[in-house]
Amino acid sequence: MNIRLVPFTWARHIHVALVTVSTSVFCWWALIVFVGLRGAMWSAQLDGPIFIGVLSFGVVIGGVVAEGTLDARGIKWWVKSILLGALLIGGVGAGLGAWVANFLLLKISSSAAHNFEIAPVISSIRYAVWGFCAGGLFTGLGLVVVRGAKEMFNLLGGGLAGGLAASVVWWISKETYDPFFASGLAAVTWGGVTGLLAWVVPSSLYSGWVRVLSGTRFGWRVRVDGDDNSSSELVVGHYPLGLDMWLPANEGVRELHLSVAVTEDGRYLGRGMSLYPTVVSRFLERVDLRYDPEKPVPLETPLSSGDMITLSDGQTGTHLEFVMLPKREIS
Amino acid sequence: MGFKDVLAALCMTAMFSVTSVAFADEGDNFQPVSGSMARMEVLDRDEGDSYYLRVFSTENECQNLTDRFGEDYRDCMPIVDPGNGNVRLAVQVIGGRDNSPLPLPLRVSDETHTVNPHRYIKVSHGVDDVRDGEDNQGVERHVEIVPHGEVSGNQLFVLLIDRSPSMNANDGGPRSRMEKTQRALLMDSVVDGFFGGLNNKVLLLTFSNDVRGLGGNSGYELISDRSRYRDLVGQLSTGGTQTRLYESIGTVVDDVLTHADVTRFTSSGTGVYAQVTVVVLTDGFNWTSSSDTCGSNARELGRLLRRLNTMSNEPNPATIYTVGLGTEAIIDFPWIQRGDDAVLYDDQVRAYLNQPPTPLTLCGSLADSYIDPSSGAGLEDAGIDNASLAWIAHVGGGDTYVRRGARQLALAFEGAAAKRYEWFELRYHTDPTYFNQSFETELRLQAFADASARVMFYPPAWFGLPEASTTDEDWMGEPTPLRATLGFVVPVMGLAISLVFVGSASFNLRRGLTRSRPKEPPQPG
Repeated sequence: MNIRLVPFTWARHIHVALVTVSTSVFCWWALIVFVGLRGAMWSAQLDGPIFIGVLSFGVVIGGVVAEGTLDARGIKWWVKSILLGALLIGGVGAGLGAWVANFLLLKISSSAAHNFEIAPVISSIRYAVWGFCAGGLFTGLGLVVVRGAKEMFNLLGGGLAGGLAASVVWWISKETYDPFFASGLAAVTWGGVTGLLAWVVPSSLYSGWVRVLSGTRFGWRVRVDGDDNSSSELVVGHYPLGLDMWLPANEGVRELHLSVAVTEDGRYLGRGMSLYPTVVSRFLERVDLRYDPEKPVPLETPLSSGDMITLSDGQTGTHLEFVMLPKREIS
Repeated sequence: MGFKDVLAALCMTAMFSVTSVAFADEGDNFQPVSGSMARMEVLDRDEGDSYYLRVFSTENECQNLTDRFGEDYRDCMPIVDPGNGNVRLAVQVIGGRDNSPLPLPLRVSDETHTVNPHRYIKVSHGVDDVRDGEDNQGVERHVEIVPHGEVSGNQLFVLLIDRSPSMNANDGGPRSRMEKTQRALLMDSVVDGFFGGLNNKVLLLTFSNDVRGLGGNSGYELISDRSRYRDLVGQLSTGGTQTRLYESIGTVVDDVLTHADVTRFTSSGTGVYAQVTVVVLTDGFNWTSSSDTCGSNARELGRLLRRLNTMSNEPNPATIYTVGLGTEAIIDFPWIQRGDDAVLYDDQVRAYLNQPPTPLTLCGSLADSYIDPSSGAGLEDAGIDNASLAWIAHVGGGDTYVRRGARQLALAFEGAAAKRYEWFELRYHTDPTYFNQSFETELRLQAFADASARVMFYPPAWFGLPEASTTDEDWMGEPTPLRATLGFVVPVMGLAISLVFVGSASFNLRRGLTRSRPKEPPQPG
């Protein structure tokens, strides 16, 4: 997974899901190939736990790959995440959880035991869903080990939702197709839903830039963020001294025309500092940040990647663009 | 997290794996079915059965079996294809004194080059009998037997030839019935059939008032030499006054086959038996006096059939073929309407012949007809007792033929000298929806011996391998190779990888198309 291929658009919301889908499907396929070559070497009662454990392992290992490559983690982190997060909790834990869930269900419900015995293929989803849920919870726990407890509820919820969605897809598709396709589609669903819901490529991996789109300084860009990831501010104008981004006055830019700031929590803001037109435009929206002398503070608006900013003196103007780019791209 | 944590994690993984295996061993005795996620369990056979059907379930068993015949063990491995509703099992009849295999003379049709499975075995899938043809829901079903393990070992053919005076009749032709029989027995194809194995022997017997052996001084001569066989066939002649057909067959079973001259060959010290095939040839009815009617034979025939039934549970049971020389005297026997469903007809005939004969079921309206009255024409003048021959062959596990000419007679002898096979593939196809749940398949031998087997199948519940590919011509199909699984994996992963690039590509495309171009800087002044 390469951060340079993940623009700060909708794409960063699905990239982790694409990775987890790929890894869960790959692990499912490895299981199928193993069984095809060596046969099912275990008891029939362990089919479900092994299937769920392998899918869960695949999803968590996808999380490890995503997190490790995006954040350029060290070898120690990789070892811990793979062994503890993916293998032990995501794989063995999920399998064990599914086995316990099935075991308890069969102990509690004689009808479930009977149905599983005589017609496991067409048994109701209410018998199988507990195993998937248990597996999903362990997927979430494995991801917590990978990503840390900060987003624990997101990760647990994502894992649980992935397991649940997989059970539904598995159950519906095995009515229509065979267990091969049903289990494959379950792998796709588990990886996809967990990857989509658990986390997106975090904005902390990107930094904001102001880029000139017109005039003599076309193409010049200046980063808003400081080196220490704390709050920072970039001032745009034609005042000759101390400005972060100097633009010529004859291109419609006033001495102190615009300020672009990043807060400590990573939000970007545009502030109008001039009485002259300062317009932020985005899809179906235009915001005029021109300074109002009657108000004590300048007007400001949140900036998001792709916003266009026009600075003007009433006769001519300069076009700027606010854009989020991966931090690693410029380091 | 330190090294100790990692070590602890690995230990827990190992412990779970060990626990899983332990559960696997304790949980069930299911054998995985190769190439599928289904499992099978060969159920215990009923205690007390002399014979049973052995169903092969593991690679080791199959390799041990097929190595002896130089065959591919994969032909023996069980197949369960729930998607197409197909099952294949390798089956062997086991039993006798030392639980040795009983090779079966499976008759391969000259026309279709296949074995009629319904003749030999009954297959039940759950409670549903599987037979060729459509079921009530219009789903096509098939059963097929593929013989394997051709036995080239010892076989003893006992030829029991009618020598009653009626064998002198020439039926308007240049040769008598006995001469026709001799010509048929001397044809090369028949001789090849009898002496085709490595150590086959032939015992020539004739019957009329009693049973007599040809050759040998005081005992029975087991002929292993073709020229000696030709000599003795040439010595066949008529004699006697009666046709004690039933009694003679009983004598063969009780006295001849247990005679030391015979058992020295059929139950050799090595424990490898020579399979015994008895071929009975007659040209009329069982007859002892002029007061005999067709119906009066039913009681004695019943006694013989009971004896033959008990024989089928004895070690190394003989297979009995019956050959009638002439035309059928009891027309339309067994009086069952032959419809379009040939399998149903066979089943009905089999059920009919499973009942003990009565004068009415044996002879129908001819029950009171005299066979050979002291004056006037009797049933024997009309033809042969095809009903008795069919009954004896059915219970004796063989086949029955009614033939007239020498050439046709030779074909019947060739059929009786069919090759024996030590095991066979049983393939069947039924409604795939029956495979959605665990099911029991019961196999029951329909001939040769009373033997059965029950196998439980457990289809995959959670995940499975791709279904086999089938065609109309080859309904059993071929297992789908594992590389076919890439047909699912590659598109999914390919799509995922493509979408990774679509994000950045669409972002760049949109910027390229919509962003403004640089403008000329304003001129000073």
